[in-house]
Amino acid sequence: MTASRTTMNTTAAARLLAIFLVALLFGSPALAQRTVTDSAGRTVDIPDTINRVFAAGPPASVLVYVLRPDTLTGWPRALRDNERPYIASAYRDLPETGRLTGRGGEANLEALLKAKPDLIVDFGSIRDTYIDLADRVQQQTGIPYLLIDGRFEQTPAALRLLGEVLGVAERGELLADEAETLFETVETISAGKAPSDRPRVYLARGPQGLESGTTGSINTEIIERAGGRNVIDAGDNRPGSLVQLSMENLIAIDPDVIVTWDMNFFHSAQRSPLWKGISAVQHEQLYLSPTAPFGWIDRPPSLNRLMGLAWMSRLLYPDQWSSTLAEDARRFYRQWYQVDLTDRELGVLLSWAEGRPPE
Amino acid sequence: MSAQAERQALQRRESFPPPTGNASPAATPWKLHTAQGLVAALLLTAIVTAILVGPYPLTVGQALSALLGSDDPQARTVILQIRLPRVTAALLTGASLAAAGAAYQTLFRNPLVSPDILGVSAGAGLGAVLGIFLSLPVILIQLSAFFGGMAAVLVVAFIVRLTRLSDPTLALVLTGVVVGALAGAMTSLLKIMADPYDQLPAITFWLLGSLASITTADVAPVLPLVLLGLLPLILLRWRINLLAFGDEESRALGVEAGRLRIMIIMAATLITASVTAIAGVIGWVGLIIPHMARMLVGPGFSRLLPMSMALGAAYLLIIDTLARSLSSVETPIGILTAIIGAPFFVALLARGRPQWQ
Amino acid sequence: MSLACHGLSIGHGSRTLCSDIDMALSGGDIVCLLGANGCGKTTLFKTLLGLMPPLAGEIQLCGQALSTLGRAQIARSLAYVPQQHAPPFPYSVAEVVLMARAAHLPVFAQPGKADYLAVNDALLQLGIGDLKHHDYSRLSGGQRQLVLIARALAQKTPFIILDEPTASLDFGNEAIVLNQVQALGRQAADQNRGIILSTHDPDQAFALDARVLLMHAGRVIADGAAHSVLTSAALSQAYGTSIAVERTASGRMVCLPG
Repeated sequence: MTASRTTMNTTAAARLLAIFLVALLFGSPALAQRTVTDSAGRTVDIPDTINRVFAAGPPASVLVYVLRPDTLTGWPRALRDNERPYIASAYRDLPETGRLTGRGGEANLEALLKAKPDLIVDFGSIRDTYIDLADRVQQQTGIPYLLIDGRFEQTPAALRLLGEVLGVAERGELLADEAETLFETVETISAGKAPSDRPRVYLARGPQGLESGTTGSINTEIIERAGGRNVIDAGDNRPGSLVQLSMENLIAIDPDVIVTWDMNFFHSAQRSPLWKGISAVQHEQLYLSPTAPFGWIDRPPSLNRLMGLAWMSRLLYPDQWSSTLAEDARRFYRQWYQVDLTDRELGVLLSWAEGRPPE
Repeated sequence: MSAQAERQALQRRESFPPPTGNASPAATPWKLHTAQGLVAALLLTAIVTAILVGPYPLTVGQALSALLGSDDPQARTVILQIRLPRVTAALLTGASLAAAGAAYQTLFRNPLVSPDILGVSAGAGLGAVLGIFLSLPVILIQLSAFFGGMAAVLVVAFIVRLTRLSDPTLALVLTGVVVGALAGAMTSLLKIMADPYDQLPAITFWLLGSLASITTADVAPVLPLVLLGLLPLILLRWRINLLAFGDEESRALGVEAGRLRIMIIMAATLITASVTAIAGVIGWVGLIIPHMARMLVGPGFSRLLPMSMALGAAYLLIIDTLARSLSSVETPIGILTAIIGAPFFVALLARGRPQWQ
Repeated sequence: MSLACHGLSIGHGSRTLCSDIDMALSGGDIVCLLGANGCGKTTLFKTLLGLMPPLAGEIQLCGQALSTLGRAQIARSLAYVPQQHAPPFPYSVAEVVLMARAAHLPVFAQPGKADYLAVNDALLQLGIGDLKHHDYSRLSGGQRQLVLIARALAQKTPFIILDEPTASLDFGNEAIVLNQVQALGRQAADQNRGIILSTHDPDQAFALDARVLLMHAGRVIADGAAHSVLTSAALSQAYGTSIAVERTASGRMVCLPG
């Protein structure tokens, strides 16, 4: 309640500022405006046509990229060499803008203004802290700031909302449908298995593979979605978080499947006698996820996880899938990232997913 | 007592018991032996408990037979490959940090000094964070932490040589603060630049200290390094006391104070950097444990060193056993040592008489 | 056995406190250093001990240049009794006195029987054997000063330097410590031990029947037996105020303002 009242006030101020700023910048009378309600329930006035969008963080940049890459003012983090081939060539060299979210944020507000965005988009948590941060930035810069719920199951809603905002409602609808279809597919596949019979999955993070996220954490929600059970269950109703484990925990838990994106860990686990004692490693159920251009299972926790969802469901229920991973990956990269993979590029991804990452 | 009787008493007992205020000296050896006995019992109990307790369910019988060579491979792995290395690492780390803390407190003539004083932890932290930032394998992260810790102290020693401060202890402490702050700033910079979804959590966990991933391969190279560092401390266990009387006085008493100080600093740094490389940054042990040990056996370093090491080993082992038993996942040790150590320290201060007045 | 300096200048860096100091001390001598606060008494001691470099001139210890000697060599010839202080840790009296033995032991050695006996003898000689196991840091100032003197004795050196042994002691403690210093002085000739002490009280120089070095304005302005050197004029000059030297009915010499 308090939040929405604050929002109203701020919005009024922001509207004035925005009008003033826009008038100043373009020397034209106020542009046509419309009002949207973001995932946090904030009503935000935005210009009718939006040409430049500042992504507040890596998750938002993925969301904006799949919908309208031409509006991106930059990447929160510059692309690495092995990521570049998997982004459409026009957007590989966008400038680095830094993160606006998180502790304090590292993106400079003046640099943000210099990028002259029509809109700031944040995709992720919509808790009070983030609402407050959004209101503050909006008030200070006069640029409308949209908060979009980044939870995995909210993906279709996020695509529809931002598609509408960016004036590509059809593409938003198309991708949302596709996401819904994928969600349904994997759910149907795992529905046949009682929750207690589902594969027990451990998401290994960190160089030693001994960091993970508990059930309900944003970092591991893909496991449940793909029809697995996260073995790190805090057992209470605490919101999920990143935790550290010991080797003994792992031996006691003895997961069926281990997934990771950490190459160092992946290689050392196959040599370590301790890890070899874990059934998943013994039975070759240790899987490495590709991370180009974005991680398949996390990193950032955004739409890129849809690719990981198809991959992980295939790992857990290999005989339930009629299409091949190659077909799905080629299609996904074309549809979502708007790149036509060459056979070599696709080959790199596929052998990466089989444990042979590029050097 | 006549001079003759005094001489005879001395010949029977070659060393002096520690003072206990103005209490009757006759009571002292008894108290001393009680304290030593209790700490030895505590240490033993902690070791046995730590070997028997853990998330992998093992009965006492299974654990014992695994130790003696049972045919249950998983039980053997848990006991021999996981718990024993971890118990060893906890003992080694606790004893090392306490030994380094005891040496530094005597050297810097200040009971509130910890092994971090010359920036070894900050340097090791920076080294490890750099290793994580560059996505190096674990062994290289550990090496980077080790050399980071050593380098920080070498830089401190080098800068102190350049300065012309008349009080070498003050120069060391001030330079240590500066180098530590610089290393901390660089660590923060790397944290900002690190991948928030991947490297940042790893960095955070490392800086909080943990023995969760210790293996025999981690402990094996550290053990000889720690012993190498302990050797000078053991050999100098009497002479180091003279440094507690300050630079000028110890020199007037015939000690090459500068050389002695460098030797002790290098030994303590080697010890601290070695264990920090495998255990991460663990605070408080090197501060409170020597303090407790001094209350039990007095400031004489020949007694302070073994008592600090025994107490430090027991303390960190208990903390680490808690770290892996409090919940279904690991609790970082650095958090526990502070949460348990800080109030404990306050209680000690409130009860005991301050010893630095 | 000798401690001598020639043309010695002392001070900190570029700041000279006192120059042209010539002095020679042999076994059995007692030298008393007098002068106003800040005239460089402690600095002279530290320079003689090799803790500070001399600005000019040279120091000879037992025939060898001081600068060529190691710390242990110096400490086997020259013991130092600093002004009493409290260390940060509660060492026992015996532990404090035992530290005197460092100069006689190799770097990695532990003290042995002979060292403990030396400690015991020194404590008994000063009449503080019963303090042996007490916490040094909790003793009174006078007791601490006695412990430090015992430590100098345990060091078994031909020369002892005492820096204002009676400074900041109350009247009773001052008398006790002064008695012990006088006892040391009386034994000095027997044991062929040389003593240098500084004091703020010229009466002590008379009481010890010492040779006096009177320092003033960066110079040694008087050098000789207390009775011939400590004149009203010299003392008045040194302390910058009028001082009278009188003989009491019992024959003691006392110095009085006015």
